Amino acid sequence: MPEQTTTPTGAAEPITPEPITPERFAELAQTIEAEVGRFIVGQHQLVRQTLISLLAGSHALLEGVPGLGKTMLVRTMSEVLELNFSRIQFTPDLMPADIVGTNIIVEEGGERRFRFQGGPIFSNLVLADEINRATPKTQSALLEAMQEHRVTVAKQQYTLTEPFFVLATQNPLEMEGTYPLPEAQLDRFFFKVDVPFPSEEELIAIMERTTGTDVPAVRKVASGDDVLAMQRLARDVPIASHVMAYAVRLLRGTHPDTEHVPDLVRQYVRYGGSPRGAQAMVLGAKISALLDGRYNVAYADVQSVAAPALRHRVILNFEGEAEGIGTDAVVRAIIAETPTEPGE
Amino acid sequence: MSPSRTDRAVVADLRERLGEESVRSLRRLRARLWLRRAVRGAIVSVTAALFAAALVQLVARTVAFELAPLLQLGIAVFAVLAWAAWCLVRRPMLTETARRADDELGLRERVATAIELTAAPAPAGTAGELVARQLGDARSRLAAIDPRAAFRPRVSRRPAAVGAVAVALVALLTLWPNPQDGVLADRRAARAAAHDVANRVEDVAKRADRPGEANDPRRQALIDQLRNLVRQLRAKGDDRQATLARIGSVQEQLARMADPQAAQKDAAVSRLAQQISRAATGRQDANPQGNSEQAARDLEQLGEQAGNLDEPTARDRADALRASAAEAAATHPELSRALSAAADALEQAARTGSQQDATTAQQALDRAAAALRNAERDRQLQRDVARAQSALQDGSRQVARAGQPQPGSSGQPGSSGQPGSSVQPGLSGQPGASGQPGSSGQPGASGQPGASGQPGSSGNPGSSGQPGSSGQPGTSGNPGSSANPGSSGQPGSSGNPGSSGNPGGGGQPGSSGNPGSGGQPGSSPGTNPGSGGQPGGGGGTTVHRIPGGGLRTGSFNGPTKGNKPFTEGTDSFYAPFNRFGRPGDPSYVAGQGGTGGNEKPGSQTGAGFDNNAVVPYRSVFDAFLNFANNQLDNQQVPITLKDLVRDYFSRLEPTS
Repeated sequence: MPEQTTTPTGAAEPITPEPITPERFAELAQTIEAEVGRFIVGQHQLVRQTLISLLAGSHALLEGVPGLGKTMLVRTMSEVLELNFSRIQFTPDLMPADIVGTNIIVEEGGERRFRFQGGPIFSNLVLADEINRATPKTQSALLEAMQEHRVTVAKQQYTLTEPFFVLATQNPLEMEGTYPLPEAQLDRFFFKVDVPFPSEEELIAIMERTTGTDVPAVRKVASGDDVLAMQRLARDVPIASHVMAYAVRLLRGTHPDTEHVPDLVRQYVRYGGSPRGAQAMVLGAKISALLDGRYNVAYADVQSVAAPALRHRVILNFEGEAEGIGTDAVVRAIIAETPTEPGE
Repeated sequence: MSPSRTDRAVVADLRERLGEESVRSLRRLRARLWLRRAVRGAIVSVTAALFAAALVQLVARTVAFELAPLLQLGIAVFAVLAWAAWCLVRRPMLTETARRADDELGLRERVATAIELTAAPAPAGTAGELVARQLGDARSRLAAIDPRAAFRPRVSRRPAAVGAVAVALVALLTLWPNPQDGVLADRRAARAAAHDVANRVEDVAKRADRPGEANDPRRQALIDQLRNLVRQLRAKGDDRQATLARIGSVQEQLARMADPQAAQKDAAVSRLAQQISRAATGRQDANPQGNSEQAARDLEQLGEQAGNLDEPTARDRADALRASAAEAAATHPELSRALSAAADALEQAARTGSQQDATTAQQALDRAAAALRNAERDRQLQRDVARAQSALQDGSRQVARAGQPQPGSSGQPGSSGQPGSSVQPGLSGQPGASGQPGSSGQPGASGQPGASGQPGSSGNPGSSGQPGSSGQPGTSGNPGSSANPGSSGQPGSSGNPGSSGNPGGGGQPGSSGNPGSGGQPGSSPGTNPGSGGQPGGGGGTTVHRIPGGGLRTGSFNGPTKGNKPFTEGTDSFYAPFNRFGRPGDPSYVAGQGGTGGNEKPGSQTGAGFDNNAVVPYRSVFDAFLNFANNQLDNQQVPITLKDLVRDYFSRLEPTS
């Protein structure tokens, strides 16, 4: 029996956004960053990479210790973008139905019938907080929705509303009682964004903003349609073949069995990134070019998104883990040793 | 973008989508990029060439590498050609130029992307708008570029440092003396000497290759050996030892061909030819030169006349022939037998008057003529062999000494000048102007080899007193002849080799010797019978009559001084006359062996005069050397002494 595709109650219908100009794209992006920056002190890379993930129509995994503003970032972004927002706090007893929803028995017209009750996944912006604390079964339910932009409940498929953007967070310190995401599921995330600890000046600014009585009001600067239009425009940005080849060389550089890879890769990397890594780099580079006011992708664009696109796709071996080699160091080495022109 | 996209296609697309100005700008950028590459390639080429040259120099210091300079030149040429070829091959294409310009000028891949986008039709919709914007962006960037600021030729530190090291290495190796230079110079000298020897040997071979004697296998063997040696010397003259070995091998072959009695036979043939001609013709003046062919023809002519001779005449001729046969018995037994048989037949024919005997006599005389011709052929062969031996001996010395330091002026055998020993008494006691110093300064001045031999007055060889071979010139003429000053001033005969460059330090003999002012040998043949016990060595001299002459006291008893080391060819040297006359010269007196004459001290005094007897040393030396070489070549010097003679002249050779 063929599966049915329906839209849950309350979900928006798919829309075809009006095209926007590159100038408008850059203006909106800058406005979004500026507005988010009113709440998030510093963390420019965090905001930029999160925005790129959003404009790429994909999802991001934020990794950082608690209290660095991850939830605040997602909440602020949802408010700035005038999108639905839901937060799921992942715990070991969280069940898939708690995420995707379930069929409940309702009485309508004197008869009982099942009706699908959508879970928190049916939002434009979903914060999957501490995703590694849920069981793999629950994680899989979320990751399927992330990949397919739809959920299946009782053989019934339900399409998620667009834009659909999941921001998952995980705490790198507390590993007790956690379920680290498998590599295959990590690969579903467009970017893995590190949330660094704020600098002293940023901390001072945070104190000033959060310990006073003034609470800045959030201003909505873009709609979901704007986001969809921006996503479409970003995909049309031309990229030269040699720049594309460079992105591919970077990805191949993560594989230890490839020729001319850095010693760091050969020594400490067990598996390299999947093609999704190159896709993430190219698409992220296109958005980066538009954000920079250009109409073509440059090597620098690829390099700027290489770390968030590859760091969670590079799997270190035991030796690398034991040595404390970070994947960021591996990616930096690859960028440093991969020539922009082959044969140089 | 297809990497094989040609510049022409790129230009066409760019011209259409970006405009001509963008194309020009891109071409200028390409020229700049090409220049930078050329500069970098030149540095790399020069550095590589320098290292290669340094390597060659290092090798050339390890082994004697004669082709090192040529190889270094080849490396330089190759480097230039390689650089030019590299520049042609590495001419940047426009697509590559665009990428480099993006990188160099921080254009963020705008130009390269634009070139790629021009290759495809513009897409529709938003993508097309983005492409148009991108092309416009690239066009404006290209228009703003100053090509002169792009791709400046630059030298990276590492290539520059490596190049500096290469330059320093080459400079060091160039300035540092190469220990193999001596070996190379020696090899070159050996090769040059081998070539010289080859030329000389080839000349000898040409002289030996007489068309009329092609059937002589011995002569042909001689020629073959010489020519084979010439080829070897020219092909492989580098190795001195090998060259000497080759020469030595041929010398050994020639030694087997040489007749130990060649000298005696050679002298005997001429004498026999003269005697035979006299015997055959009955004339004492027949065949004065001792021509063998003439003698053979005389014999044949006598044979034709055998039937017509009267008996006394025939007997005389036969006796003369027998005498010749007896003369030839020691050196040419075959000829001796033929002559004896011919004499008998001739006498028999005259006695019987028989035609048959006449015919027999004619045949016998023809056989004698043939034997004489054979003897002549042998003589010529031996002369050629001797000439070849001489050339090879000289050549081996030349090869052995090629490139070796020549003895300098030091150690020249000085000859303490003897005061004039045979002073002729002058006329009346006119005071001599000045005594001739002895032969001081004449190195080895005793080289008047029996030159002063004068025939004895009686005409019988040996009977008249001949001056000895001590280098005394002909004895003076009549005593009392004012024109004959004493023979003082003749080179002393007892030159003592100076030791280690310090010729004898004795003083000048005589008080005020003016060279050339006197001391000429007497001009007329001596009439004093020699009574000296030294047999004359033959030879001859050309004596010159001295107009006038001075009276002088011809006695020198002063201390002599060691010879001046004549090292410069322009040094003045006392050489009052041409020592080596030639047969036929008006004043040439053929010397003959004699018993030597008495020395007669003179006491004459007279005024000397300048007869331009002081000549450059070089001219005298050359005269001596040429004479000696001729004698060596003409087998006048025994083979065992030839080296001695050559060595002697080598030591005397002026340095300039």
